[in-house]
Amino acid sequence: MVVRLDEAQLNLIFPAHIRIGPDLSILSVGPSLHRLMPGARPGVRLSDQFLIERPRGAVDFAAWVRARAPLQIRALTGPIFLRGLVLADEPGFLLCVSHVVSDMAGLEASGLRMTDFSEADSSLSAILSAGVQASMIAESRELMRDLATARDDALAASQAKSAFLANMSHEIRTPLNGVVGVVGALARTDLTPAQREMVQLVVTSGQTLERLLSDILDLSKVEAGQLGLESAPFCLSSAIEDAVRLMRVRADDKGLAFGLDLGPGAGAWVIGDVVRVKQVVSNLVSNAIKFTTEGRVDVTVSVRNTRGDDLEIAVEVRDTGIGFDAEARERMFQRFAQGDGSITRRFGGTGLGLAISQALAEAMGGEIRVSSVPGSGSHFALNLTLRRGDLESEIQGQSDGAPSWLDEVSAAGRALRILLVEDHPINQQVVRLILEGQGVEITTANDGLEAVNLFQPDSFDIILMDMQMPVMDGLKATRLIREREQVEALAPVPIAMLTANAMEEHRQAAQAAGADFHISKPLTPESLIMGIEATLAAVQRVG
Amino acid sequence: MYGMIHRAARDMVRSAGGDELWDRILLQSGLKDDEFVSALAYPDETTFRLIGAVAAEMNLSLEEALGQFGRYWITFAHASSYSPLMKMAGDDLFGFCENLDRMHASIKISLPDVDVPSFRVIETGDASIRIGYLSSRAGLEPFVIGLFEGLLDHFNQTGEVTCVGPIDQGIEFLIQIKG
Ligand code: HEM
Repeated sequence: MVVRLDEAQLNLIFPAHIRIGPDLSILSVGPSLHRLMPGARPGVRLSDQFLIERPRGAVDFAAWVRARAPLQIRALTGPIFLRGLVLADEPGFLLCVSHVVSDMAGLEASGLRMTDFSEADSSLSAILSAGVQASMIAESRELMRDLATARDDALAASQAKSAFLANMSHEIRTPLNGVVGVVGALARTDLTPAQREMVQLVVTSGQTLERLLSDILDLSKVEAGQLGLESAPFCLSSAIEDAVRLMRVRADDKGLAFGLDLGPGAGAWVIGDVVRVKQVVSNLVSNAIKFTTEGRVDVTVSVRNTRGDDLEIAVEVRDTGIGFDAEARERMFQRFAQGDGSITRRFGGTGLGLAISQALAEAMGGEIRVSSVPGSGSHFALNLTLRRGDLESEIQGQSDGAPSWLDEVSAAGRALRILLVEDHPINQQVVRLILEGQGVEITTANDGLEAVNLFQPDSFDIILMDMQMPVMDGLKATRLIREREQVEALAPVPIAMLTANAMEEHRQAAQAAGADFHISKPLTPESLIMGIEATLAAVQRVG
Repeated sequence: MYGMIHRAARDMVRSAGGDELWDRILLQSGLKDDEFVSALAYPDETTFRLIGAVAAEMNLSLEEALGQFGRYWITFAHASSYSPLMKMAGDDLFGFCENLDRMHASIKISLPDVDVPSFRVIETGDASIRIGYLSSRAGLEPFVIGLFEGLLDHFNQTGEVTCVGPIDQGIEFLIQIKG
């Protein structure tokens, strides 16, 4: 049966139909399509208004009509999309479509209304739901934007808070140092026993406050992302021995046995931040001692695995202390929360130590693992992967080019005479290794006083002076040497101050004491050689 | 009801009393931010709790709050991304009312859990429309009145909307245009 529709019926049932002739030009369009696309007029070529998406490839009109495959066309401009069956009629053929509008906003201009669609035309429903969906998408976009802004704001606020904390801790430290210093002086005066006791109380309180401040400072650095990690070679076992040296005494005082087991491979040189590694280890050991009333604390250092140049290192701390349960473990690493409020009161401390240690371990690409049975002790393990740092190859690998003083000294027919003032044997070794074969002759003094005694007119070309040393520090030694040069009208010897702290105030203190240059530790071949060159140059400029 | 209704209520409160008023309403109703996602359906109880809190914090009766919300919804729908839908529904009050049912019915395609009301124009006069409203929810008559008042306003007309009472199917409303 063939149903013939007159124009009016056709327009009512298929308000978006389109009729196309054999030359692929438009013969007529339904009323709603006409409203949507005034450009799709009779006589216009189909391809001037639409992209033919299906069937794909070149359109063979006759084959297309025979196949009766669905046609899918998309307006070249605007969000209008049509798909429907191809029905042949005379003189052209008819595409009978549902039209879909993928973006309702594009309809604004068309002036199309719901009444333009027959009651039976389901394409209206599709258009309306496209509208609802578009508004949902708009909302998701808005939500994502809000979320991003909220996150940025929260981050900025948190960073501002951390920066504030860091600043405040710094600000508080200065007056606190004053208080502690003055009280220390007061303690050395004649006091009644009662006064002495009170002064002692102020001293211990001050020390507690200092520890608290440095914890907060560390934590806020971590949170503000300002934790700069050093990367320099150090000897693993010496670092751990260093870290536990003081702790051993504390364990002794408490009557606890203390064991340090340096396993195979523990003597390796590795590359990392020795100060932070030591800080984490001594924190773990200090906690173990704090929470152990009897029994022992044991530290084991082992290289678990070697992968190429990477060493998987574990520093484990076991104790026979009070231990903790799973819930306490959850809270243990939370910043500003302690396992049990009463613990702080009983054992003291800021409760930040573990949170800081964990943050430091993570910043170094490692982790801290814990396990415990309440009442029978705990087990903490610091797991780190550090690159192997063969000290000598490290140093040779890094130095490039010959130092500038080589020509001068060879012309003078003698080596550059260096007085190295440094208390730490490993650091002495580092300097020797770096400068070996660079035309230098190194004399070593173990502290400032030795240096002052060794110093004679025209005996050295340069002095490398460590700032922090026992007996006499580098600042005092530098001042004494400069005084003697003044009194005896000697040409000033170039002095470079070596400090572990790159802070501006240290730089200024070094300069005020009479140093010509400042080299920060840990030393690298570049920093040392360039530092020496710069010190020599600075003196020449002045002289 | 769907979250888009909650969002409209939030918009209304914020435009009336700012974030401060809104925070009080959140507190009072116990609603959280995730109950304002347009594309999600929430239990009616949540919607009514919200409207109850709006009434309490804005010192309105429940009826007044519903009426105000109905009027606001029309402004909101026109100013938001629903504006093409509103526009398509018609250019005058009469045409719009005729299309109200089809518009809600169509929305069901994209919001499957929606329980939209049905509208049926019973009779139109020169300056009046009698319209039937059928819903599975009870007590929303003041809201419907507010909505039609909003529509009058939107088409720049003054008039009066009254709830005539129950008919064989649903509830009849009368819109009378003046001037
Ligand atoms: C673009 C405009 C509109 C959209 C997208 C829309 C959509 C909706 C939606 C999603 C619901 C909630 C149903 C549910 O969640 O179960 C609803 C309810 C309702 N709508 Fe609309 N609507 C629109 C305009 C209107 C207008 C102009 C009226 C005017 C009379 C109206 C009358 C109602 C009523 C009275 C309800 C309450 C539900 C009930 O009575 O059961 N809507 N609408």
